[in-house]
Amino acid sequence: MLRLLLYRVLGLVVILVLVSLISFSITYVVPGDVALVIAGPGASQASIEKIRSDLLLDEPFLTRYGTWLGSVVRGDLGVSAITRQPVAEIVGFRLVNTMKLALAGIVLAIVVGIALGLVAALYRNSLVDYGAMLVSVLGISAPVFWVGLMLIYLFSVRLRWLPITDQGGIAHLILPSITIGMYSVAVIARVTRFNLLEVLGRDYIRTAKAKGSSTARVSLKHALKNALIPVVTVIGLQFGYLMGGAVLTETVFAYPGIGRLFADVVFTRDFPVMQILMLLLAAIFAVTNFLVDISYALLDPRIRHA
Amino acid sequence: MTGRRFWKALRRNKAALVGFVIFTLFLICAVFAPALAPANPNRANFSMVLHPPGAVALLGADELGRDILSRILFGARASFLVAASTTAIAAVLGVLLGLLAGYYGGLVDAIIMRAADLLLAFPSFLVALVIVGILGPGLMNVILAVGVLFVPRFVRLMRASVLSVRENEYIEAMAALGSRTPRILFQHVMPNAMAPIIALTAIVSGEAILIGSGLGFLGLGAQPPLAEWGAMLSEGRVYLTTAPHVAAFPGLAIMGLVVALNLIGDGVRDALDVRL
Repeated sequence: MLRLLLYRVLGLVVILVLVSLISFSITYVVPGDVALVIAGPGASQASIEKIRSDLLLDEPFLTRYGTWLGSVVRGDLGVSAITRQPVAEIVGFRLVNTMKLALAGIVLAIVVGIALGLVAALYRNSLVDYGAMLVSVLGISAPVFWVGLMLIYLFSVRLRWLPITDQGGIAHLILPSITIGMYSVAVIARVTRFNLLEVLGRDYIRTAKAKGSSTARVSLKHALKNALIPVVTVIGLQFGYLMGGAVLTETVFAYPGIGRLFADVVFTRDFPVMQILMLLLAAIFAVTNFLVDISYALLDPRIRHA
Repeated sequence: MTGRRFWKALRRNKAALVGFVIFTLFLICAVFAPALAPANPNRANFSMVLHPPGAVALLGADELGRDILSRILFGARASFLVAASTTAIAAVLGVLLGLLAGYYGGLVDAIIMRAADLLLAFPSFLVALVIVGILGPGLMNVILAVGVLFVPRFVRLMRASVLSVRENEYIEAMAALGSRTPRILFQHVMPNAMAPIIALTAIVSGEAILIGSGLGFLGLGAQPPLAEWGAMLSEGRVYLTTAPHVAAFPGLAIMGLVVALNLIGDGVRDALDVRL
């Protein structure tokens, strides 16, 4: 277990370093002069020179990367190229908002997804099963931004049950978290059903039934526990997906999170903010996958002792 | 598995058949859009602004009075273009790189697989967003971005297939008999590894449409006045309270086509009995 842990930590560090390299390098692949791009058309020579020296654009690559990574590690995230506001200030509260949204979405996905998958598997080839699988195919196929708009229309415009945009408070989180979690609900339902059916066909389930355990006990205690191991991986992957889905969901709901910020800085070409956001999102994604790997080993003794 | 058994298994799958029928209908819409569309998709008609669905215009009209049905029919072309080109880019590059990685192993394998891991280290929509952000908005750049995004999926799948096929004795025998590597790779390893690639292609093309229309929704895809479902939805967003049909129908179109592709993908996957 310790060896596995060390190996995974090492892998995480390597990925983080490479990710920081990629995030930093995006200014190099932009066609044209970055300083000109950021300053915009009609900027004075002085302001272009200012940007050039602020971003160390004339220094060699490794010097710039080293300086950038050094200050990021020390907690100095730099300033926005557009508003001159500190990046930490811009990102901070938005990150908290997106985390709230993503957590609400993933909790919804886990609860509803596993429940759907469970009933579908238990009542295999019944109307319940077909219904659950139809819902999940629709959930995987519907564009998030469209689902968000239709939910707003139904619950805020027509029924007037819920507020349209974010003003704080739990009611404002309901529609965005359904929107962002919907795809994950569908994926988790499918994976749960698939794995549960596979486990239910195994010999030890037959043995448990032969010993006289009730069907419900067998499905819940023996089968579900084993079927959920692969589901854990999917949950980890879904968390990364939620971070990506946050861009569209937050745009639809005018929700002040890092997803919408990301779309904004792509438009304004605010590279200092974009670099930090890329690094941050990839780091969250990598750490989540790392935790999933570890929990996978904890859940499955075959991996722990391998 | 033989081809005939595969088709038999696929035909028995009702969901896949439904998917195939929906897919074909959309394909007909895309190909024959000029003949089927009741109006010019780009002609503004100010007497029809935000007209609700009905007898005059089956799916209503948008904020410029353009016929929404006609725009959806023409928009199908953009979606098929995105789906087909991105999966073509991803499949060709992914299959080639996966073949190399799986067959040669060692350093080649390590470099290709770590590069694939790195691309998968970022949430996929964000990768597409950054690439389009750097290249600039437009349908071609969306295709490039989404195509690159899906390469690692094909690389991984192909590499795994190659690794399992390579173990067969006949491959070893061919090498012993002096067959050159490219011949072994393309004539023997590749056809054997093709089946799962086909299933992945169907599933990935649905995702490509979702990501492509998402970028269109953000204003980074097809530029006006070209009809594209994601962009149409984004234009309709402003009129959600008074004219919800402007945003509703393009979204239904996206969902319909993606459902079809997912049903086909699931069917092919089950018929081939592979896990993706």
